[in-house]
Amino acid sequence: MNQFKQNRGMALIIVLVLSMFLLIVAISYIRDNSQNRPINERHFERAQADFLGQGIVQLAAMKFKKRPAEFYYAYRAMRAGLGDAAMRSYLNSDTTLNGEFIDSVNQRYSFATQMQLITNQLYQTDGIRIVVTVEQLSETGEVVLTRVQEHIIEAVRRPIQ
Amino acid sequence: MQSFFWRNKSGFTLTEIIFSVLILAGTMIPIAAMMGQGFEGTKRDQRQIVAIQLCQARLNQALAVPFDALVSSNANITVAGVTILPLGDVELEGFTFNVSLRVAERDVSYSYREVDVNAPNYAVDNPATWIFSPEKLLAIPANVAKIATIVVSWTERGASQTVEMSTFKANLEL
Repeated sequence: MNQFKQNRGMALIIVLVLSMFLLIVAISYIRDNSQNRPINERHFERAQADFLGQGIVQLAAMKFKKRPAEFYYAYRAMRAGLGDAAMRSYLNSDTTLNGEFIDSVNQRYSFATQMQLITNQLYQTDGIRIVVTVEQLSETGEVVLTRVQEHIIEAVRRPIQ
Repeated sequence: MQSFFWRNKSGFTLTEIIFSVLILAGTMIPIAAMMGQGFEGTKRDQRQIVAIQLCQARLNQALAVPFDALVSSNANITVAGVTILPLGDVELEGFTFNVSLRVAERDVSYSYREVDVNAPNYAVDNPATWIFSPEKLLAIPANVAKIATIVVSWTERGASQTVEMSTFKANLEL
């Protein structure tokens, strides 16, 4: 049998295989590219949630500055086992420190604030830890992303005169 | 003994080569078009990333601006002759972005419960003697908090694109 006849059509096969390879490369490139957009969006949403948390920390710090005694009373009453009604009024019921924010592209973020007293007997210092949790919500209300911002306001303890 | 490749001395026929070149050309045209589209998409995404990073950087700077100086603006915000928040046109990676600041007042209300310090049994160091009032609301209508939004805009193929990021700023100097 003629060897030449057996090898006929080899060029076609080689070209088809090469074309297939190029097609796979092109498809994977397009797929990678289409995945970039959600990554950009996630990066944006994370940054937005962080900024929102920082802003709420400032509002919480301002509340403590305006009404420090009420926080101390509520916190001490809670620690003394007298219930947390005053603390819940100070933190959980507060619509400035707990609520929702909708950004320019209609993404929903919910935020909640906690405050805690940190006492250091050794250095005679007090601190107020403010923790703001920001959650990004999907259209159905599911949590997509959670970011936490924490800030400590330090204070030097002074004895009552 | 001759190897397989050397045995076949005839090579490819002209018809095979013509068909192969036609097939290769036929497949390369849509592939090249797809690659071009992908490349354009990559550049678009890159511009969006640059815009988001610019937005973050400017909002961080906006948080450091004194409360009273934080106002809506398309031009640089300066305090005592020093630019603390650069706004306006910015050229990055061969593309022009416009940065502006939008500020809105935000009223604030805080809930709390007071302790009646005039109650007969009140003792500052004994929580059991404290009588808490019903929940009260401290409402501060103006000049205590603002919503600051940095807007980065640019034009992409004739269409305007924007990225906006917001935060709150409280007047802690009060």
